[in-house]
Amino acid sequence: MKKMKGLVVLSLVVLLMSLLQLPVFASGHNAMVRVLHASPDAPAVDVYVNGEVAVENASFKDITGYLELEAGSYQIAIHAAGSDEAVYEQEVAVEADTHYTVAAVGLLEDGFRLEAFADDLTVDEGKSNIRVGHLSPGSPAVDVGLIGGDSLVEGAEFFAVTDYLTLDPGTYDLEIRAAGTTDQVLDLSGTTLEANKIYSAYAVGADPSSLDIVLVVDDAAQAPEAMPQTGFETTTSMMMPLLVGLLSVGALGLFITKRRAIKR
Amino acid sequence: MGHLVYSLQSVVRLSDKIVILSLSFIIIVSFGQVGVNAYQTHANAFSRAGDAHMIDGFSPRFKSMSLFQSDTLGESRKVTLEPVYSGPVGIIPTHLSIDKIGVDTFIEQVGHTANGQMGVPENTDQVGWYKHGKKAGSQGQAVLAGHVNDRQGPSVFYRLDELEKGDVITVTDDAGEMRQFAVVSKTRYPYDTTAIDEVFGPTSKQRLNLITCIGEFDQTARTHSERLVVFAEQIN
Repeated sequence: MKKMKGLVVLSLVVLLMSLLQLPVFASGHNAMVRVLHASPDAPAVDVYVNGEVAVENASFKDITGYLELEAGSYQIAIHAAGSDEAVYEQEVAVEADTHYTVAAVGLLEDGFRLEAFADDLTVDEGKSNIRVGHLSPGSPAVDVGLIGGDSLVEGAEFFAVTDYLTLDPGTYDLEIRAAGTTDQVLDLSGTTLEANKIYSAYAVGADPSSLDIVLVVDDAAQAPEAMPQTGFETTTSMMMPLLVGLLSVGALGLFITKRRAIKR
Repeated sequence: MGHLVYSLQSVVRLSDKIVILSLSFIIIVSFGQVGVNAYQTHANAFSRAGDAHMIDGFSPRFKSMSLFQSDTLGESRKVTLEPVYSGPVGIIPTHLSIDKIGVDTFIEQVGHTANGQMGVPENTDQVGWYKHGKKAGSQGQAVLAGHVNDRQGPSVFYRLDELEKGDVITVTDDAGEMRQFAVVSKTRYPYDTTAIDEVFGPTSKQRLNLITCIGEFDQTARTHSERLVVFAEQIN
């Protein structure tokens, strides 16, 4: 009977311990979403998420900071700035632990839509990452490369966002040229890429004559695997064993001396 | 020596033997503990390594190979690219002051230890900014770690636990640019917590988080049993 009681107590203790050991689920696992206004003929806009205003007065070529949303589907509505009426609505689904850029692309009159794509905010230590987005509805396919040299990106058409390219940090003489030719469209010489940063170069504008580049930069962000070791065992706790040891030596010496004295 | 041997031989009583044996045992255990501690401290000092640098060759990848001939493109133009941040721009913090708990110190840059922990400042009177994370004042969580104590006694974040909601934390960068944060909450985590994202992960807020050790010193794990994290949000 006593054994049974012990067993019950033990299993209860184990159960409690295992409950305490349950992993703590982080509250911070959300989707991060930012908005890029890349529709050349659209006015300044407000962006509503599920009926709530989330971004106010974003103009062509503006990019907003990240909004934090729980994973799921959202009704995104675009209003002319200050207007109560939506000019465009679209559902956008986002996943947890992912960063997104949602670009408003196309002409308001023709092909206006939202394009969502994931941002990767990591880069190999000491490197730069860059990707290119073709967001200019009236521009033909282009290559991006070193002036008179190799291409980094070939045949990018509206709408396309490339994968990230990893480059050494430094200053590059880049150009945009008509795909497959040496005909320069834009001279981007002297573009500096810094280490541990992630760049997105978006070509925007209605057509080649109004083509411009919005270069968005992010600092790489990582997390360590574990918390820092921000404390030491103080000397006081090591003083105790040392003290006990020394006292015992003294006591032993004294004891033996005493005994010897008695024996004599 | 002769005296000692003689003395030991002269002691024959069982009770005496027991006393001598137990005292000797205590001596061995105590000094052994001191010795092991010294060894582990020595070993720990060498377990910290710098951040690994990976140097790869330049290897561009090609997205696609479609070769459409262009329409009319017109004259080429020169465009100078000005990188823009998509949210508030942060600073690299180099100085920290928290009036409430008498902290006024420099900030070192720290990375990872060899075993993946966030690094700690060399100088226990200074704090470390996690350089692979966010800048102070940008969207996300910038993280500073400071020691609660060193072998001699209290260190820079000894009084971190005294911070309360609303207390102001100020950081500046090398150029004197300042960001101020107000404490919003504080949480204790086990030293081996897996909830790292709560402290380092993304958020749309502009946070500055301060970490130090708290709780009992765990002899087995060779570290304090918990970490105190003070969460603060930018106020200007």
